[in-house]
Amino acid sequence: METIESFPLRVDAAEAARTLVESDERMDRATPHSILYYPYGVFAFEVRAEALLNSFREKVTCAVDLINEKELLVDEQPTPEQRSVPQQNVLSTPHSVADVESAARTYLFEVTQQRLKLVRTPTLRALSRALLYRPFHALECTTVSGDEYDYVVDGVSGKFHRIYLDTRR
Amino acid sequence: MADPLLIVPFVLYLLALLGFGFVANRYMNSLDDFLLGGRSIGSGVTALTLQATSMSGFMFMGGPALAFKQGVWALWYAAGDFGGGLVNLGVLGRGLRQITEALGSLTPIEWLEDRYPHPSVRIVGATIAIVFLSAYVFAQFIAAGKAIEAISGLPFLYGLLIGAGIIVLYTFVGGYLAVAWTDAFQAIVMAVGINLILVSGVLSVGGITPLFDRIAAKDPTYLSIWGKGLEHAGEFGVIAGAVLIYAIGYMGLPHAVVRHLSMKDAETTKKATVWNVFYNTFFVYQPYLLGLLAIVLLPNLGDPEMAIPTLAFQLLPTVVAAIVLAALMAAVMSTADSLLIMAGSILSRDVIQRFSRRDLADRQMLVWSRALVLAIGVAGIAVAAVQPPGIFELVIFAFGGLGTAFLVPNVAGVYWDRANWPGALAGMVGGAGTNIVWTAWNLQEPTAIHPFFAGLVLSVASLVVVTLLTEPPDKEVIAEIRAARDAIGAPAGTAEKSSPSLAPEATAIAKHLERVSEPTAPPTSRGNHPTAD
Repeated sequence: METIESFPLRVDAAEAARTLVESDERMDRATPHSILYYPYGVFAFEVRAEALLNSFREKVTCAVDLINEKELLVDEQPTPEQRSVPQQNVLSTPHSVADVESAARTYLFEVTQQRLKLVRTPTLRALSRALLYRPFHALECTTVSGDEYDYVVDGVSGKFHRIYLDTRR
Repeated sequence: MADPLLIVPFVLYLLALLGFGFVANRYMNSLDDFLLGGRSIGSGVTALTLQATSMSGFMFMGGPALAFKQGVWALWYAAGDFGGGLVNLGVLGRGLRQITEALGSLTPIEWLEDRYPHPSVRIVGATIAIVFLSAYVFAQFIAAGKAIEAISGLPFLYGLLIGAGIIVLYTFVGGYLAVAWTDAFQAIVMAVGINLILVSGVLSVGGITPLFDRIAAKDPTYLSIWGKGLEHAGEFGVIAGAVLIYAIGYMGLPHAVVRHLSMKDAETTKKATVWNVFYNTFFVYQPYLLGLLAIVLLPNLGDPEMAIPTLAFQLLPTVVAAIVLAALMAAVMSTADSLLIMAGSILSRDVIQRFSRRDLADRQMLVWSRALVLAIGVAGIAVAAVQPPGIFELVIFAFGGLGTAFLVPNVAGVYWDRANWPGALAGMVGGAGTNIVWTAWNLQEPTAIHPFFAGLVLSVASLVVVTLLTEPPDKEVIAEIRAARDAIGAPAGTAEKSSPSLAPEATAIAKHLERVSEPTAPPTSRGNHPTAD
C-alpha cells in the first residue's frame, strides 16, 4: 500500500457507471474494476493583472500532468485527502513537481494574457505547490449487442474518456 | 460628405458593445470567470459565440462577390461547405478521433507530431499555419477597411489603416468586447440583418422565380454550373478544388485548447452542435444568394465585394443598414483577433518555447507573440495598400494553404501505416508550396486546375514518393495507431459525450493498465486491480 494525497473523490464508482450507461441507449452496463491515481503538480499563484478597465489580484490554481507534462486550469483550490491505496493503482512519473513549475507559470501567464488582453504584463507569484493525485475510475462497458469497451471516468468532474487497451498481448 | 445617419448608429453600436462588455465585466469580476469563461453559459450562447468568432469578411464580402461575378457557379463553394461536415466525418471522423484519443493529442499540430515523431514536423507545421493564418488576417483587414470606407466615405487606404489599427489594438487590449454574451448578440444581429436584406431584396424583385428569370434575361449563363460565359466549362479540376476546399479544408485549420478541471459537475455543451446546424440554415447560403440578387438590383456595382453593404443601404432603413455593417465590422474584429492570437500562440508556444535552449521568461514569450501580431499587422497593411487582393481570393489562398498542407498527412496518418515523418514533411511542403506557386503565377488559367486541387495532388505524390524512399516509421507508434483504428467504434452518444481534454490521461492510464497486467498475462487488465474505496 502507498499513502498519497489526492483530489477529493466526488464521483463514486456507481455514479461513474451510471454516467456511462446513460450516455447512449445502446450502452447496456458498465462495470467499475479499479480506481487509478494520476499524478499532478498543483500550483497556486497570486496573479496581479492590470486590464483595460480593471485590475485583479487573485489566487489562481493550475496543474501540470506529471506524465505528459500538459497543463490545465483548476477552478478551485482542492482540499487534499490522504489515502492509502495499492501501489499498482498509482501511476508512476519520471517528473517531480519542481520540474514542471516553470511550465505551469508559462501556461498561466499565457492564458491570463490571452483571455484578459492586458495592457500590462501580468505578474505571477508562486504561493504553493503540491503533488496531488487525481482519481480515475476504470470501467469495462458492454453494449446491448455484446461489444466491449474500456473507459475511464474522472472521479472529480465525472467527465469520461475511452481507453484503448492492447488486447492482443 | 458622410451621412450622420450612417456614422452615428455605426459608432454607437460599437460603443454599445464596449459598454455592454464593460457592464458584463462588473458582474464577472473574478479572474477565474475570465480564465474559465463559458462554464456557466448555456449551449445556445456557446454556439452563437462560436459562430460570431468564425464569421469573417469572407461571408459578407468574398462569397457575395463571387456569386455576383460568376452566378450560381459560386454555389460549388457553398455546396462543399454544406457537405464538409459529412465528408470530414466519413473520411477522418471516427478513425482520427480514436487515434488522437489513443495518442493523447489535443491539437492538430500536436497530433501530427505524435503520429510523425520528429521536431521538423512541428516546426514546419507551425510555420505553415502562421503564414496562412496571416493571409487570413489580411483578408479581415481589407474587409474592415471596406466597411469603414462604405460607412464614412473615406478613401479605402484610410479605412484600411483605421480598420487594421483597430483590430491590432483590439487584439492587445480589447478583452472586454469579446465576452460571450456580446458575441452571441452579434451572431443574432448578423443573421437577422442578412435575412432582412435577402427578404427585402427578393420581395422587391417579385419573388424567387422572377429573380432567376431576370438573372437569365441578363445572361443565361449566370445560371450555369460552369460559371458566367461558361468560363469553367469542362474544368473539372477547378470544380473539384472549389467543392473540396470547404468540404475537407476545415481539417487543416489549427486551433488552441485551454484545458480545464472542473470541481463541480460534468455538464457538457454538446447541444451546441444542434444550435450550429440551426444557425447555419439561416446563414450559410444567404450571402451567396445576396450576390445573385445584386446581379439584378445593382447591375452597375463597381466593386462586387460591396454587394452586401450596398444592398443594405438600398433596401434597409439607413439606421438598420448602419447597425448591420457595425455587426459586420465587429465580427471581422472578433475573427481577426482570434486568428492573430492563434498565430502568436503557435509561434511562442509551439516553436520558441519548445525549441529554445533555455527557459524563456514570461516577458520574453510575450514579446515574441506581440512582435508577431505587429509584424502581421504591418505586412497586412502593406499588402492591402500596395495591391489589395480580393477578399475571396485571399481567403481561398489561406484556406487552401492550410488544407493542402495538413489534409494528406492527416489522412495518411490514419490509414497508411507506412507513412513516415519525411513523407509527411514532404506532403506538407509540397501541398502548401504548390498552393503558393499556383496562386502567385495564376496557373489555374492555363491548366484549368484549382490551386487547392493541384496542391492536394502534389501533396499526395510527395508524401507517397518520399515515404517509400525512406525508412519505415517507428513500430511502436504504428502498433498504437493500428490498435485504436481497429477497435470497434463506441456507441455514438458515448463517443459524443466523452471529453477530449482527458486524452493524455487516458493514454497514460491505458499504458499503465497494460504494464501492470503483464506479469499475470491476462488478455487485458480488466478486473485485475484491487479497488481502493
